[in-house]
Amino acid sequence: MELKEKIEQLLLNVQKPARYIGGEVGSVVKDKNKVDVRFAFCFPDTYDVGMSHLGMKILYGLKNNVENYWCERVFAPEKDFENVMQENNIPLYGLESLDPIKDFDFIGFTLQYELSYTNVLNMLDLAGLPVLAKDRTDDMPVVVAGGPCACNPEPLADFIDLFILGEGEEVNLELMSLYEKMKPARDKRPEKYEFLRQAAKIKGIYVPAFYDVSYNDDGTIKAVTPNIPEAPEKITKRIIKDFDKVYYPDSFVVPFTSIVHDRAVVEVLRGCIRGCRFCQAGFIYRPFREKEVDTISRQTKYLCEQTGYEEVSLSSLSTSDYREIEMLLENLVDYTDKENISLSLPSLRIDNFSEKLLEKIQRIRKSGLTFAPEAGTQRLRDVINKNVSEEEIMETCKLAFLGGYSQVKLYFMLGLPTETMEDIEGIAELGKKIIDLYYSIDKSKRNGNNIQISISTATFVPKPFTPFEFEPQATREEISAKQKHLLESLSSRKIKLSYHNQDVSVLEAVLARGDRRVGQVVLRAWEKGCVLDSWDEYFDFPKWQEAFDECGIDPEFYANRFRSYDEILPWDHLDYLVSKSFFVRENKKAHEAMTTRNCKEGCSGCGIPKDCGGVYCG
Amino acid sequence: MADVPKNQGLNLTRYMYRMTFSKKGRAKFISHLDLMRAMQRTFKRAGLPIWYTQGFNPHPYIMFPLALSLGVESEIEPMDVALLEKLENEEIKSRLNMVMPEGIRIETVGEPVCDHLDIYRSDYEIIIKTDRPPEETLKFFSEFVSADEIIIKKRLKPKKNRRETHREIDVREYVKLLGIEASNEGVKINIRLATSAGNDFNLNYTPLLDAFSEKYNIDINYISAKRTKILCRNGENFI
Ligand code: SF4
Repeated sequence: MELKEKIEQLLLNVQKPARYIGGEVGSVVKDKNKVDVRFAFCFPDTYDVGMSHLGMKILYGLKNNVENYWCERVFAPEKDFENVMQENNIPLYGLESLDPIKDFDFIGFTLQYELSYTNVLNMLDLAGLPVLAKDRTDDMPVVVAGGPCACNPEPLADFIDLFILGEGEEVNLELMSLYEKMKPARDKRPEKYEFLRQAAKIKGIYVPAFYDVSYNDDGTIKAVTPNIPEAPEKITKRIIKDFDKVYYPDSFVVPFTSIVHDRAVVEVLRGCIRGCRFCQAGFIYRPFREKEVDTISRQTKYLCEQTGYEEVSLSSLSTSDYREIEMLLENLVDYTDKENISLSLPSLRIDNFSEKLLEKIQRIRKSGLTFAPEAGTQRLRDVINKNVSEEEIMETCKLAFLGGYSQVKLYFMLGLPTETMEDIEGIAELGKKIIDLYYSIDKSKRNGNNIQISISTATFVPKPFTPFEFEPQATREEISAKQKHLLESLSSRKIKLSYHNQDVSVLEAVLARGDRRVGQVVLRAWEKGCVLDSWDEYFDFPKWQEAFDECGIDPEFYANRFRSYDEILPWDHLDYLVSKSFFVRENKKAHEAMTTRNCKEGCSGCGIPKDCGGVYCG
Repeated sequence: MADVPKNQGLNLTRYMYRMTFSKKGRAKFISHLDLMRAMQRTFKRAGLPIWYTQGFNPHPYIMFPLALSLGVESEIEPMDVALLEKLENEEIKSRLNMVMPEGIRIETVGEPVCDHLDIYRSDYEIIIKTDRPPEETLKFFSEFVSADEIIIKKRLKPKKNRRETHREIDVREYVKLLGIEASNEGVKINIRLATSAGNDFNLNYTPLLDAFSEKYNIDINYISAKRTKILCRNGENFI
C-alpha cells in the first residue's frame, strides 16, 4: 500500500483526522519533480497550536513563493495518532505531499517555548532520524531551528545542525539558495559538513558543532571558542531593516478543524519600545519598526479575501504604540464593517485613547478586559520597569466599566527580584480597589451588578537577553509561601485566583538558561517518555527529576543561582544587538527601583545600531 | 455592535438554492461540523453573501440535510443555502468552485424541489479487502445480504454508569445489493441502504460490514466508501 493510502485507512480511527491529511485552502502543492529544495517546517506541538502561529505562516508563504522551493507543514501528532503511526510504521510526513520528511532537504523547527524541546526530539525520531546531529549522515536532511528560544539554543546544540538567529525572512532564503547551489544534482544532497561550513559564513547562522565549550571547576563556562576559521567569534541576529516592505503572505492555510487562533492576522509592528525588564520579547525583537497604514490596510484586505475569514486580528507586542493607531483603526473599521468581518485587537492598551476611538473599538469587539500589571506595588513595578501606574489602571477600568465591561483579568508574576510580602499584599489590594471602583459607579451607568476579577499568577522565569538574565529564580519554598500569603490576603469572593504549575516554571528556568550539558537531560527525559510537556495531562515532572539525577545535573545550578555580571553566560557568543553592558546597567537600576524611559520618550542607548530601521533609534 | 452581523434586519428577501457537491480525496476527512465552517468561508471567498437567519442569535443559512460519516466520499451531498442575491445557477457554481477546498466541488445548483423528509435511500459504492481471496469474500458477502434475515448489532446509548450495550436487529428490508464484483483490487459492492433526514431508520454500512465480518469470521483490513445516489420515497433522485 502506498503511504497515502495507508494513512487514510488509519485516520478512520483517530480524533479529528482532518489535522493529519492536509488539503486545506491555501496549502501549497507543487510538482516535486520541478522542485529543487524541499523544506519541512516543523512546529513542535500539535496542529491546533502550531497552525495558530504567525511566524510559520509568514515563512511558509515566503519559501513557497520561490518557484523551485517547496515548504510543507509538519506538526506533532497527538498521542492517539502517534501510537497508530508507530504501530504501523508510518514515518512523520509533510501535510502537503504526504511524503516522509526524512527525504526532504531541510527539516526546520520553530522554537517558541522551552517545553517544546522534547517534541523536537520526538519528531526527529518519528521521522526515522537519529536525534543527535552527529549521528545523522550525509544522506539525511539538514536540521535547522529558529524562533525566540534560539537566542539560547545551547540545550539543543547536540540535536540541531544549525540555528537561525533573529528574523527569518531573508536568511531562510539565503540558506536555501546556498544549498541549492551546492547540490550536485536535483536528487543529490551536498556533503553536510561542507554545507555547514559555508552556511556558517552567512550572517545569523550558528552552527553549534563549530564551537567548543570549556568549563571552570565551579561549573560555569570558561570559554566558547570557534574550532574552524569560518565560524565567527560572535554570531549576530538578523533584522529586517525595511519592515514596511518585508514579505507578508497574502493568503493563509485555512484549517478545517478549529484551532486556537482561527482568523486572519496582520502584523502591524515589530519590536517594542517599552523595555519591561522581565520580558525577553521586548529585547530580542528590538528595534521598534512599523508598517505604513496603507500597507496594513492592503494586507488586511488581501488576507480576508483570500481566506474567507470572518475575523481579522492585528498582531504586535503592543498595538497602542503604533504611531498612527487612530488613522489605522478608522481605515480598517471602514473595511471590516462593510465586509461584515470582526476586527480584534489583542495587545491594545486602552489607556491613552480618545472617546471617539473607544467607541469605535467597542463596536469592534467586546472581549474581556485584561491587564498585566505584573507586580502588586508601584515600587516593584518600577523594579521591573513596567510603566503602568495604579491611576492608569483605575482610569482605564473606569472607562471600561462605563463602556459596559464587568469582567477584569489581571496577570501577575510571583518571585520577581526584590519582591517582599508587601508586594504580594499589593496584588490583593489592587483587586479590591477595582471592585470598589466598580461599585462606586452609578448602577444605571455600569453593566449589571456583578463584577468578576480573575487574578492569574505565574512564577517569574528569568530569561536570557533581559536585564534579569543574571537573577536567580525564586525557590519552590519561597513561591509556595507567597502563594499562600496571597490567598490569605484576598478578602473578596469576587476575585478568583489561579497559579501556574510550579514544576513547569522550574523546568522552564533550567531550559531557558541552560548550557550544552542540559541537552543530556532533555535527551534522557525524552527517552523516558516525556513529550508534549506543555500539556498538563502529559507533563511528568518526576521523570524529568529522574533525568536530572541520572545525568548528574543539578537544576538549582541553572534555576536558582545568581550569576555575576562578568560570568560568561551560555548565550554570550550570540549577539542580539542589545549590549550586555545595557543589561548590566538595567539590572543595577532595577535593584534601585529606578525606571528607564521608553524608546519613544528618548533613546536609552541599548546598543541597537542606528541603521536597523528602528523608528526611535539614533 | 459588531457581534451582530451587519447585513441584518432589513434583509427579508432571500433566494433559496439547493446545491449538490462531491466530497472526495482528502476532503472526506472534513467532519460535518467543520464542513459548515468551511462552506461559510468558501461563500465569503466567492463573494456570495449568505442570508442570515433573523432573531436573537443570527447565523448564516447553510444547511446539510444529511450527515455523511467521516472518511466516506460522496458524489452528491445536498446543501441548502439562502443567498441575498439572485444569480445564474452556473455563475454561482463556477464562482464557488474557483475557491473550494481541494476535493470538494459543487456539482449542481438549482431550486429546492423535494422535501428533506422525502429522502429514503442512498446508494454506496464500497470497496473492501479482506484476509480471504476476493472471490471468496464476494461469495460470502452475496450470501450474507441475500439471506432472509440480516442481523446486525445496533449500539444503544449507554445508560449512566453502564457499559455500552447492543441490540440485535434484522435490517433485511433496509438493504438491497445492487451489484458486486471481485478483482485484484478487492471486492466492489454497490448497495442501497435506508437513509433518512428525519427520524426514520438510517442504516450505516459500518455495522453491516461488522456483522458480516463476525458471522463469517473474515477480517476486513481495508474499506473505502462513496455515496453515489440519494433517492426519494417515490424512487426518484432527490433534487
Ligand atoms: S537604540 Fe535606543 S531607541 Fe533604539 S531600541 Fe535601543 S533604546 Fe530604543
